[in-house]
Amino acid sequence: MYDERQLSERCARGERQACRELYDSCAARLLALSTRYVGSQDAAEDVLQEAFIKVFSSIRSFRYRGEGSLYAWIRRIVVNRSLDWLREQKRAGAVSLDEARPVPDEGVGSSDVEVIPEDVLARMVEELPDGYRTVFNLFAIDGYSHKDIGKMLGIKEKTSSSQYFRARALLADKIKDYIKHNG
Amino acid sequence: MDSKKHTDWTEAVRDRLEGRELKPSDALWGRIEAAAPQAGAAPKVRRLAWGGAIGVAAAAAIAAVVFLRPAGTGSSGDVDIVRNAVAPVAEATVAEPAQPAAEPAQPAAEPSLPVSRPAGTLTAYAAPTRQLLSQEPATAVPVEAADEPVQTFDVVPNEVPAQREKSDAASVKQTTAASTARPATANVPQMTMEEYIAQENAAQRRHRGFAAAVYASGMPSANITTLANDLADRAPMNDHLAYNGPTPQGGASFDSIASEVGYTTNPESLNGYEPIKYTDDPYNINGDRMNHSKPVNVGLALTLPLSDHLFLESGLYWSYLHSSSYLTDQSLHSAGIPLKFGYRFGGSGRTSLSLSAGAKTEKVVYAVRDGSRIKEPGLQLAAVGSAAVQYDIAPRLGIFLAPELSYWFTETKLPTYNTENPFNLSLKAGLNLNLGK
Repeated sequence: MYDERQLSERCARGERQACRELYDSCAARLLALSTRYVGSQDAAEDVLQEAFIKVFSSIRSFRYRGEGSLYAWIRRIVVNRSLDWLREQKRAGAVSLDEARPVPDEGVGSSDVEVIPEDVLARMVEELPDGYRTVFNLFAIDGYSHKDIGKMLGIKEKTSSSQYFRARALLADKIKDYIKHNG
Repeated sequence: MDSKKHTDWTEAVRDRLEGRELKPSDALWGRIEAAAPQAGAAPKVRRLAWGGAIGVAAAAAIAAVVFLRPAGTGSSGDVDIVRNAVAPVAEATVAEPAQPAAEPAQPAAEPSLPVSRPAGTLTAYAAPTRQLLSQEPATAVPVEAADEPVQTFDVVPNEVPAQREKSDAASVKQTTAASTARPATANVPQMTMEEYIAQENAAQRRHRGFAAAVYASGMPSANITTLANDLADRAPMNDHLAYNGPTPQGGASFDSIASEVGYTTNPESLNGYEPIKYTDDPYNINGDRMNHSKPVNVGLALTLPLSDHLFLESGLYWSYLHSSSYLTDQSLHSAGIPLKFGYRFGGSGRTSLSLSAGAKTEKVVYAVRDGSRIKEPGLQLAAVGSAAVQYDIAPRLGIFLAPELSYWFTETKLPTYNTENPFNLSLKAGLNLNLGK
């Protein structure tokens, strides 16, 4: 386990080796995270590039708040850069009306999720419509509240909530479909 | 397979995807490294420079007031306390991490943030990265990460420590479709996003919210003693003595004069002092000494944030000044309003430091001497500066300690601690409640 406090201090002092160590320690997870948001690995690498430049230029402003806080800080930067990328592509925020539909009965359990291979599950999330995917990632996986999501995306708290429920309904459909054909 | 019980199937999705890894292309680090040196001037550095400059200026102002203080006014202990309070702040503010010696100077007029950026192009953000990633010699530092499934890259050879080479080759590959195990990130320090967001929000509330504080301030055991005649101009009843002796060498404080003279009624032992005529004092005892206690304040302070670091502070306080002698006793009750601008430094964790400076005005609302009300018209005006350290004991509640130095430009007719010593160091302690959303 690397010492986040030392690593951040070394990066702040300008140690190139430390910057590389920091990159090596979390780039793979952050790439998966960004891909989950933007939907493609190529775009996610662009996002990650910008995010790391931001990380290295702002590392002096990072405040250590216990083990894990450095990664959480970087992770938040990556999420923000991913949202910026979606905005630039005009793909974040509310989904269009034709994407909206009533929330069906889900009928999916945890055990159903656990039998699905990880990359298949990731692809299911990546294939959600942009607005749904963004809200689902922010709320279900990264733990933001609907209030925070509303502020981040410039939508109402209720809109975030309803998009989340529609996202999980769509995802549940995909999970059931996968189990039906592969289970 | 994760056997954790979930109340909702989306929690299982989270568990499966949260720690997922994808191998970045080998060129990504090279792109980051290449993009970084093109960065322009750093807005962050500018903000830090501004913050540092304000902090240094405030610290210098307090230090100047302390060091320019006329000799013989007040105890030296006050000065020491201020020096001790100010010096670490100044040092912390001006200290900058050492930069690599070979780093060339940054062009001052280099652009900062890109104004607009076409999709797909990448523009670096800030200059520090140039320093961070450029000239530092690549001395390999071992990473304690034997169990960490950190991927190895070939961009910079020989910098991956041996421990990593031992890691299972499977762990450096992208998770395959057959893999159902949790991503091997268990040893990486984990802080959930909920925890981090909660901490961030708490920190933002702490630094950006409108805040109210209750406090008390004073400085015990720092009374000042004056001879009654020194108060002659202001208090006719103390018009007992006049000093006609030689000027004491090196300047004389009230304390030294009092010590020199002693508490006595014998004019022959006054050593340069001689009694003057009695005016209107019913207690005509030569050498009466008056003890002035330092002011004790309690108050309510309101802080309005102007930016992430700057804030405006005002409020209302009540001040109590007491003086007494062998023969007389007086109390002054005043109401005051301070107005200060401050700069808050980001502290580590729950601790933060702020410097502030401004002015305060006081009006005596009740003055009594030996049972008789005395009128004290007019407003008193002082300059004030303080350094505060706050420790948050709860997300919205902090305790703070603040040495505060004030200098009174005006004075009351009645003699008080402030009239005898316009410089006043006090220690303020209180509770700060953040009222922000």
